[in-house]
Amino acid sequence: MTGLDLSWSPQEDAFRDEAREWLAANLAAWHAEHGGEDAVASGDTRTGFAQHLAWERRLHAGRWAAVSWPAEYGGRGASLWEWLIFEEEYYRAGAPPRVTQNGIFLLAPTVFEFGTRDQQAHILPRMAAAEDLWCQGWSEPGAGSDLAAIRCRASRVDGGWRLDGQKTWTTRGAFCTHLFGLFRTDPESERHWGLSYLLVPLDTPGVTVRGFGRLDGDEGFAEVFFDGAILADDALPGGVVLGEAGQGWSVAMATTGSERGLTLRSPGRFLATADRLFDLYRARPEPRLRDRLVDAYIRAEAYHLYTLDTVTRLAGGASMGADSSINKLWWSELDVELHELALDLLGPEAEVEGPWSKGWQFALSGPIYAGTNEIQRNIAAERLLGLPRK
Amino acid sequence: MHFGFDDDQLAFRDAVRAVLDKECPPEAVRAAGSASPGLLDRGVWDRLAAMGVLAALVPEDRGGLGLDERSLVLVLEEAGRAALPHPLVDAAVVAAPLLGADAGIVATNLGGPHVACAADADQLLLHDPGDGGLHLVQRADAVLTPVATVDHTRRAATVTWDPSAPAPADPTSTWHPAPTAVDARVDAARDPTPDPSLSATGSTPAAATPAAGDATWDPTRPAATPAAGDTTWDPTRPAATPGAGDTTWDPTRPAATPAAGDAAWDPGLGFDATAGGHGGSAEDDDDLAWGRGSWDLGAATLITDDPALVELARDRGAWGTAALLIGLGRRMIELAVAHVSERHQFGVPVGSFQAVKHQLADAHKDLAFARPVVHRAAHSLATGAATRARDVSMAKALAGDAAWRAGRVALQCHGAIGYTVEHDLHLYLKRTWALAKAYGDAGWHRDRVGREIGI
Repeated sequence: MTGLDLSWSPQEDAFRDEAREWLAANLAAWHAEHGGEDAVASGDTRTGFAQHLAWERRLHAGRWAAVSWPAEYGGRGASLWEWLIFEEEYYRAGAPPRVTQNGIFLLAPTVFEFGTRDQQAHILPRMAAAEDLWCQGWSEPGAGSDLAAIRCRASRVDGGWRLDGQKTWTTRGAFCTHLFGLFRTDPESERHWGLSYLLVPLDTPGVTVRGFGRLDGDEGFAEVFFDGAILADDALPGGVVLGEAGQGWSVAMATTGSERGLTLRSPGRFLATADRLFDLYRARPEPRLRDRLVDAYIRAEAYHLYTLDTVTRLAGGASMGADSSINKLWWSELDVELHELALDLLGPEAEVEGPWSKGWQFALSGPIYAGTNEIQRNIAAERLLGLPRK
Repeated sequence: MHFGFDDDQLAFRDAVRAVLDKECPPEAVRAAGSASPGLLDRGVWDRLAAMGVLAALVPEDRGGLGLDERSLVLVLEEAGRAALPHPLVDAAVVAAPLLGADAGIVATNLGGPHVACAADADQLLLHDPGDGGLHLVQRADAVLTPVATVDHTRRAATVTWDPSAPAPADPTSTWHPAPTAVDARVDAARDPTPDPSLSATGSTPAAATPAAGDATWDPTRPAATPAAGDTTWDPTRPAATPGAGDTTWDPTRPAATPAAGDAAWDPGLGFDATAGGHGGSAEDDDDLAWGRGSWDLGAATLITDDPALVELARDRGAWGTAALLIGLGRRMIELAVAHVSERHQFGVPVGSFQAVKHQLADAHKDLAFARPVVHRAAHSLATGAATRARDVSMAKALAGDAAWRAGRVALQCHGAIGYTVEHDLHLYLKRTWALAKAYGDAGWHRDRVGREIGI
């Protein structure tokens, strides 16, 4: 292998061209279907979610819904490099946030790693086609940063599991069809032991989903009550336990790496935001903010370059490990800074609802979800620097 | 696409690190601060010279290794980590591509008004805003007026040259001459034989002049055979041995008309273009305070007055300094981690407290994200990329800020022991303070990035 080489191969260039052309044509068509770009509602509202599902199905028809998956599951077997290229083009084109992301970017990597052949064959194609819509059932009223304090129970009954307890802050839970979550399956267990990773159809009798408003006013959160619902072993082909029963914690940790690390927030997203910020600055230059603007741009570029470094290491067989924690710190703080700058440029107009005020409110959730930034700093200090836990 | 390094580059880094661990421990950095001027220990420098580090960026046909910045960036990180007190970036990164493989220790004013490491240099590469050119002055021909700097391991000075001038009023502040020491130039007589143990692959990477077909070092540097029209490197330019017309001062030369390249590259640290570089007086305290002392160009050799080459030299200096800062930042975090893991208060290691952990995690994060930016700048320099100015300035801005923050955090996490000169931390901390501002500080470089991207 050569040293630093920042050139793309002809195949990668062709992949980029194909993605760019497809995105341009299909975004225009999708916007037109819904009365123009400005008429598309947030994907975290009921109306907007339906509009965004139409977009997801368009992506699937073009085989762009999950580019890195094998073709048999609806992907195109793209390399990590091609995935990065696609993400760059996706956000550069101004394409919308993925309402299917919790399935595609969080659950799917775990299904690939721990799922049986039957589970993979059933779950993945339907996920790519946006037929089954997955939400993440981890947080509970008493288990946020301290995820191992989970109290939702799954008790073994004849032919299945009896579910009790409550999940909450479940993103888009009110619009989804399925939940993946952690349940305590060994009643004698504590903390990280005795948990299982279960796959739950939300139409199971006894399961109640109630949406509620987030800070931004959208019905983007839900709480999910189980109330003795019976989850049959054959509710899904291949079964409803992902990985081994009782090993839920280690199975789930594979997903947290994806959430904090590479796949959830690609650099293309922030580079595109920085570009829009430049447009805003040029339209209403504010010299006193220029230094901060350039600094934010440099940090977006640094995220891009750090990701190239990461993908190079992953392609060489390494894993991201606890580096995913500093990665999450970086992108979540960058997102806040980019949007804060936009509000500073807008001045009093920042109060008016629009893409920047909406984006700002969403950016503020970044340092909280996927493990708060305080938790990430603990992980980085202990696992990357080797500082004592106690 | 491959954002990584090859085995040769990693082996080069490992070999240099082994030498620095052995020959440049904290005690050596400390000793540099108290050595007599001109008597800086050259043991580690000679080892680096023998390994080819100093000639890495010199084309093969000029006696160098013909490597590029991508092969040197990890080595520079190691030099920063060791706080090597010698002017490695000035000599190997800024001067060597212009002067050739055997220029000895070269110090320069491109990084700031006072010339860092001037007291121990063999030659001085001096930018004169009067003609915009870079001039080479023998250290023995210059009068150095020491400047007390915070990092006293880099014996800085303002430079004047006037062989007939009386010594400055206070003889204790005069570092010249120490000709016998200064003459101890790295040369063939000083055992350039490479140490075979330095070669991680068993071949001879340590040789300053690699054997033909040497498989360990790939000398296929793009810059050595530039594309037509490449303005960044002109192999036909007689830089190391200037043409006859360049060796004498021409009083009819129009002065004080800075070239376009200089207007873009004045971080407020170099000589003031309007002050002129000629005929200054050693007694002019104001000028000396601001580094505007002058040398008589009659005895200087014009190396180049091509604005593009001057800007390239400065970009190399800014980039190389950024790489040093990455290594310095990492070293300070290592020291802090070691300290807070050992030090107990309230019955537990202080490193178990979140207030301590979080600071160190953030400092580590900032360095981790600045590093690939420095690596990309190496790539841009090596390939003559159109985005070179932007990429170098991004690297210097981010690495400078990250190392600066790492220093603040490391000092805070050490508590009172870190605020002493008994502890080693201050050696790395003060070097960081010096280098973060050298070759343009973070704010200056952000301004330049803004200009480059049209903001």
